[in-house]
Amino acid sequence: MEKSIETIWKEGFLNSDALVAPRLNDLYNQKSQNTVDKLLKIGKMNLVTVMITAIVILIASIFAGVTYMGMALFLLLSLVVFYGKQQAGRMKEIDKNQNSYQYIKEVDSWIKEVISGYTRMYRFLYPSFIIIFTFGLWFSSFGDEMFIEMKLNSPDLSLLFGVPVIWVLAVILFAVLSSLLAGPIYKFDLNLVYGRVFKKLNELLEDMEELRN
Amino acid sequence: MSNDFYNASILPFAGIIIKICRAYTNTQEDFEDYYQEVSLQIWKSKDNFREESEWSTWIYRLSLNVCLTLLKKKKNNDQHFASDSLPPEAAVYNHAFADESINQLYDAIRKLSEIDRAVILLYLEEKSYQEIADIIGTNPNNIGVRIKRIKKRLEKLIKE
Repeated sequence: MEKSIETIWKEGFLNSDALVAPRLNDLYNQKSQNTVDKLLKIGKMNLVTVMITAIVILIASIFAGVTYMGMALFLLLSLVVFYGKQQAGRMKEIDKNQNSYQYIKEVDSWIKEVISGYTRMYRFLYPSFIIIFTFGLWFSSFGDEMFIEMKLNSPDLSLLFGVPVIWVLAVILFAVLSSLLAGPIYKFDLNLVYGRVFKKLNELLEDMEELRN
Repeated sequence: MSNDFYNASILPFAGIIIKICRAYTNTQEDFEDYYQEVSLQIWKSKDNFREESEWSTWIYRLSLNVCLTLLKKKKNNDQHFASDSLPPEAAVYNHAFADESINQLYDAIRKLSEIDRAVILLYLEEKSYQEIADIIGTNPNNIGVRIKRIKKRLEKLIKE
């Protein structure tokens, strides 16, 4: 007589070996490694993009006859890449053989250090960009044309070292503002590029901290 | 996940999780992933257990929910690897059950719709119609008729 499905079910699990639980893998290790790898990949892509932008600016500035401006901007962007590469090297030194929690914790504090380093750097870099760009443009052939036009429109234009005072004041104001707002601007930029990965990493860390309590 | 919690609150009920995960996966690798995810979700959701039901009933509910969610994700991510689209012959386990009849029964169960799989698993685990309805979130009056239909289909599939 054929067995009913109820009998098959009951008899099938009588043997205790039938229900051996699989070994739990270190799920968090895998998840954390993936997230960190993703972070490094985005970081690398970001640095490559900055470097390409620096080269494009340099080449364009040579053709546009504003070579000094291009060189200065190239140097500033190279500084960003150099710092990024240095920090990426430090990140690779973090010991992957320690437990997941410690590893993620170290990655997290590395991120915080890098963010704080870049924020300090951008306090100087943002205003430098503005000053170099504006004055670079002013002392180029474009600037000459602009100067003639401005002089025609307002013959009483006051100058400071050959630059209209109103320009100097505007540039200083923007430079100071950009320096003061460097933190929020950088954070906004950071969220656009790394927002999702940071969120994942934070969730992972929160999960792990909960696991430890 | 702490070993204490796993050993005390999950391992004694591993049988339930294994039985359910087996019905929703076709390979040993998927089975182990599902088992791991269910265990993790049990740990993460343990504070939501309100003792309105038994711990084991709660594990049934959670295991089914996790398996159904994973199955949906898997279908969305990888259409051609969806378990429904695989013939039961494609089921590959490193450790098939020793009893051939139970393997055949599982192959047949895997051919059912996702909800029918849940219903029959709970029925075979001797849950009452009311409990099945509570776990799945359906009307208990429909459960009996549905079970009869599923059993007929399973018997037919096993004979094939």
